[in-house]
Amino acid sequence: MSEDASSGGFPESEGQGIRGHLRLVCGPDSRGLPSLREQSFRAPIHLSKPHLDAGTLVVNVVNPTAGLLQDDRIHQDVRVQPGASLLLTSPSASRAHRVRTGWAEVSQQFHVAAGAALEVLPETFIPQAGASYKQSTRAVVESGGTLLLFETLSPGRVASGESFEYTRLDWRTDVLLDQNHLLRERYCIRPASGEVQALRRTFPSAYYGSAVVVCPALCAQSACWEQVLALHSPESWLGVSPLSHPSAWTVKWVCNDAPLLRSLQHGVRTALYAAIGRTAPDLRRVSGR
Amino acid sequence: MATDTAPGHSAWLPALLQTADALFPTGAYAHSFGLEEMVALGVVHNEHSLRDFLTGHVLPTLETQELPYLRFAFECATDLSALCLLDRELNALKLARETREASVQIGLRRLKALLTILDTPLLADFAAAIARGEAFGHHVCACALQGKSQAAPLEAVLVAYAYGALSSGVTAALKLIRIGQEGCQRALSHAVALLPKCLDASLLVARSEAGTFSPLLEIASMRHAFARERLFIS
Repeated sequence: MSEDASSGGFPESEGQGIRGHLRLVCGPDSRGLPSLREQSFRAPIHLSKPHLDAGTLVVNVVNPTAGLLQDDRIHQDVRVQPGASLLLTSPSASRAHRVRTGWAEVSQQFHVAAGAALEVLPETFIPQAGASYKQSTRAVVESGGTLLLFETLSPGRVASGESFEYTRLDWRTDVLLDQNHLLRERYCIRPASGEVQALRRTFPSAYYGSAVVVCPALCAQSACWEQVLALHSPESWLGVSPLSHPSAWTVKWVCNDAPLLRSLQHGVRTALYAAIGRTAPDLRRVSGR
Repeated sequence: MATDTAPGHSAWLPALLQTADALFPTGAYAHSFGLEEMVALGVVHNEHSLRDFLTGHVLPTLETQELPYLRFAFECATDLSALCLLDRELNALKLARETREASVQIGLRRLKALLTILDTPLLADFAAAIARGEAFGHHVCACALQGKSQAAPLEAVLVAYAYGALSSGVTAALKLIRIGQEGCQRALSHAVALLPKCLDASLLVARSEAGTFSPLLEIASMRHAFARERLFIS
């Protein structure tokens, strides 16, 4: 079944947006340090100069344009080879702008080899009023590999009084451990839908975050989940659950403002890194989060 | 929904009623599917909020995930490998452990009970596939095989499943919040009135898109697994 080829109910558009891509292969160099063995990118994607921190190569993916516009299509393919550790992050929020017809789309594939580690930690996604956006993510982790996959979603430009005014978000995520399908998510979020209205009754400006972690070191862990669950409060709901393999877990959180969203993500990330016995690489940002 | 009222054409109905009844031993009465934690979190506390829970959380999940997967399972019920693939896919969609395990527990109990009253290879073959580790035995798959074995039409199978999900929630609510039988029936009636629209919409959901965005219910189900006191398994 080809899921990428269909419009998935979005109105088709004949316009031509940007066709950007990012292809990275990260592997150990002659000193055993992670380095980019292959790289290819095309506008609107740009890479900052990577730096090493805590044994991990930190790569900032930059979109120097205003954000994703109608008919833009971005494809990312990132592979991490045995013995290498890569953090893929972005220095600022990514935005999807209003479309007259059609949609903007990002598809991304991640492959983590045995003995490799990949953290995907993008800044918050902000769908602006009238935006239609599709995102598909497929992450394959070989046994013995480590993956941390974060995602945070804003309801819009809240500071400008714009909340849940986008048209539609279509979110597809699959995570596999070898051939074992650990996680499949299919969201079609429309602000007028019953489930979004139900969400907004409790969190009027609902910010949403999620993390998926796959790591062999998690098999025997249990204490960290109590630590993660302690981040829950009446203002910020948070839940955690194992997936269908003992080394794979997911965390979800919902709150009413961006600082709390970031604080929760920081708390979850800190606890997860402690649980998997690694040091979290520094993002070199003012807030440190 | 068209109903054939010709004599003999609803021979499937008594069997469907028997297996959809709360008396049928599936163990569903022991599950709240996140409602218990939604009560603990203060979201559901009276008749009005129970109604909101049913229409804002249960019906949307039925519409975009459970009923479409029941339809897919019904359509591939005679193709064991396709059914097993679907069952594993559904397992990956249910992120909260309790929700996932509740679906499997009830599915296995239903399958076991069905095997005592129905002698069809569809059920036995699926049970054997589960024993081989090729499938988990999710409830919608068991319901699809049940419907096929009873020669029930798809629409009736979908209605029975959806009604069961709603009534199960209301039954759990009786034990969790201050609400009487009449209040429960009013909340259930409100949700049942929206069921035809929900069923029609579910028929339009493609497999590549089937899934749900219900983070509060998902978080509640996740937190329930760590609760120190609870009445229900899920």
